[in-house]
Amino acid sequence: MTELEYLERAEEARGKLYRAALLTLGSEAAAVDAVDEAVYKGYLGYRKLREPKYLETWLVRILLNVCRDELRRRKRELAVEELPETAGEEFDALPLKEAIRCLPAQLRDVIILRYFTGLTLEETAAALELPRGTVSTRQRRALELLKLDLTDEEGAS
Amino acid sequence: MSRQQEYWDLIRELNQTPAALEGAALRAKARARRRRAGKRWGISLGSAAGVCAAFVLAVNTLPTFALACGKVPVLRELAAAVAFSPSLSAAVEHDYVQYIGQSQSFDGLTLTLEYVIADAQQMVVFYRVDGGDCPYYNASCTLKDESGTPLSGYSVGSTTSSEELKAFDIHFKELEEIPRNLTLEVELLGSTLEGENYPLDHVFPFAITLDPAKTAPAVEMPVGEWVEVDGQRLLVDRLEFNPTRTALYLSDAPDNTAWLEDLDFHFTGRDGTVYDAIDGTISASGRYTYYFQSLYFVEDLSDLTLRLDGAAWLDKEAGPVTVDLAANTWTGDLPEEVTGLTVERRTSRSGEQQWVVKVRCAVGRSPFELEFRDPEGGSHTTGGYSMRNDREAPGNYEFEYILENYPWDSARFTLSFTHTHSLDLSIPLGDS
Repeated sequence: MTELEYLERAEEARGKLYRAALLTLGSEAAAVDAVDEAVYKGYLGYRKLREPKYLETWLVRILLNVCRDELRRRKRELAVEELPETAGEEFDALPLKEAIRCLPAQLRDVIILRYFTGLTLEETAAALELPRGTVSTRQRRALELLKLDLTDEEGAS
Repeated sequence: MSRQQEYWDLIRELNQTPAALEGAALRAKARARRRRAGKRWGISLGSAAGVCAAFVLAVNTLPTFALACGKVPVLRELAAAVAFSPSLSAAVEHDYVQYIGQSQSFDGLTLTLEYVIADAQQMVVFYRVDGGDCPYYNASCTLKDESGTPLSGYSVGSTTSSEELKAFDIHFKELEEIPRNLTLEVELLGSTLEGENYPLDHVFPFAITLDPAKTAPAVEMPVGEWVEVDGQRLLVDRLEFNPTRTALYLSDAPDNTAWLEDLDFHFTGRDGTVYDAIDGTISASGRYTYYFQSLYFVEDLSDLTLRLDGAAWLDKEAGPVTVDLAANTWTGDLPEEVTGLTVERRTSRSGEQQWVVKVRCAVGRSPFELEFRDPEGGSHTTGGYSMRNDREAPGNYEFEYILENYPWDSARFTLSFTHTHSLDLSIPLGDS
């Protein structure tokens, strides 16, 4: 992949990356920072990417790592706000945006990638380095907790 | 509004991307170019605007800062690196920076020690790594004196960083005097984007000479004031002011019935300035040292007032709390702030059965230590805990301790505190 190709494709992907970062981190400024950091890290390593067609998925994976680092940093300072999977009623009481942020991290990543960045089941599995079946199970569980009835085709792209 | 409607509204909201997002790829390219060229503005783009603003403001409003910039090569980048540490910023601003500028190369990678800020408490070493295969590097270091004898009584703190100018700290715990001439033997640990670590099998020895004029002596201030808190007596012994941090030394009365577990405090200046950044603490046998942001450059230290805001105590006679997991009960005395304890059996996401001990508490402080014991005396650890606010009763917290692969029916926990106490005590340092 050429540098120009990377720059163009990374710029095209910024909207998806931003949506994922905003839903994970909750603040616009933090999301913009996270996208900047992910695109920068991608720039440092894109030449090592063996299959350029997976650039977008790879950038999403970098972004999730950046967001996790940020959440870990925050956890040292703030109370953890993640709700357990058993807290069905508490999820109901929250606005959707907040309910997504309170999902256990494994479910949250899946729901954000599938329904807010438009990744397919296979792409989500690749980004999270998980078997397709595991992603499917987590997707179903997350949709149940959020009381969302979405088909595989729905979602932002 | 239905969840479906909420979903589509949220999609619309998220599609409104901020203008700040434009040009992310070009910013990445520019940042990488600066990194490769080793130019002097390499800072996280996320913080770039703030750092630039802080630097410009400092240069324009603080004559000492501008003066310092003229004395130390490429200080602008250093100013950026320390912009978010009030203590290090003050040290830079007051010219307590020593330029090292030594480079060594190995296997296509060049390690450069750029600057040192040293005082009696610690030494902060700023370095850069150029080349190499990994996007992140982390440094560790051992110290030797002029004759090559290894030094002891210090610890090194460092975090993995992709910043161009990185830093590690050497804390002098028992080392009473830093030798003027010493060798830093630095080793690097590289990390990939995926978090895999690759130690670089090489030691970079840097012989440096510290400038005594830039290694400021500590300013000691005896306080010697006893305070009584919740039936316990505490001696606020003395303060030690250094350019990179402040140390508050306390000790307790031997006849106290509880150990001090934590102290919440801050300082205020005569003009109302609040200094409240606590760095960390160490304690041993009734003696406590609290590290705090640097107050070294406060014009008149006697203008400061030490304000004690709260304390957490652990009764010396406190026994363990034994939780009967199967019966969902416990024996022993829980801290006064604990309002409930329950146990659940849960299946983990990997399908393993686990016990979850949930403790409700009126303060945001974990009531249990992480290490616990089984009925046969074996030691285990929960590896951490989760804490969350109770949404229905703000100010209340629920802690979850997860016991994985634990076949026993009970667990013995050690308390981390037995009671807490709010304080409103002021100790003007001018009276010391």
